[in-house]
Amino acid sequence: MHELGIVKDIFRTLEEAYPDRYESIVKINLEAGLLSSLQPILIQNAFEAYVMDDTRFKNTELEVSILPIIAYCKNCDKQFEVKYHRFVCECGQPSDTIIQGEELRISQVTFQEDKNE
Amino acid sequence: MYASGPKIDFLPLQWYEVNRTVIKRKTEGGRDVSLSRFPKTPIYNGEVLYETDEVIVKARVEPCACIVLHANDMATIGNFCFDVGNRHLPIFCIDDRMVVSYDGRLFQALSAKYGDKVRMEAKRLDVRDAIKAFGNYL
Repeated sequence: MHELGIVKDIFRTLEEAYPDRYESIVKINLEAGLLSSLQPILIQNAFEAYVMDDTRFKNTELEVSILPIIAYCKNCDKQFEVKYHRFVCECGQPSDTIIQGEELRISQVTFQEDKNE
Repeated sequence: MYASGPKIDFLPLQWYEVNRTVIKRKTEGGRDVSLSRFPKTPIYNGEVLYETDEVIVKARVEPCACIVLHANDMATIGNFCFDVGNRHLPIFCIDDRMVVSYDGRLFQALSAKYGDKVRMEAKRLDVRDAIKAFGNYL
């Protein structure tokens, strides 16, 4: 519900991390877990609203990737992907030990003059 | 002369990318595509994005995991749409069912309230199936 604030935080974080190259960012890659309570459509739309206002970034891309939910099965001592919200290992053991799925992170930043950071 | 007509190539997109103003990526056939859409209108599945005598590039919106409401009574449908809309999420009407993109927390909340009337299914969320309160924005 506060996606515009998240987008502003992302730009603020990048400005602090790359003060000299901040304005030459051409692409931001985000990863959002399926348990992060963050719907990518809302982030994407908030980003479009932000760059419409701050035209320095009108040609900047935001690419959001969804991270699947990964849980841990104590019985098998291995990780498994939670599909269709079924937190059950293939051995039949249920698990609520989440390894991945709650993250929201900047995974990659690309600048105009060079490639991946 | 192209006896077999232009080759059809597809640009894969996730459903939540159709409002993007800038997209640079490869098609399934390996072609580099750079889209700048001003004024922006959502991209729909199958939309022709680029066309020459040799090639037609169409958008392909990939199916995704969705939460589907299986109910026929108006009260349940209305409440479901309110609950989803209250989170500012777009709702789609596909095959006469209310559909919203899956996220774990949303599914927990909806299944707690609607029980087995909400189910997980793979669907293609095309903007033409979106229920919109205003404009063409998804």
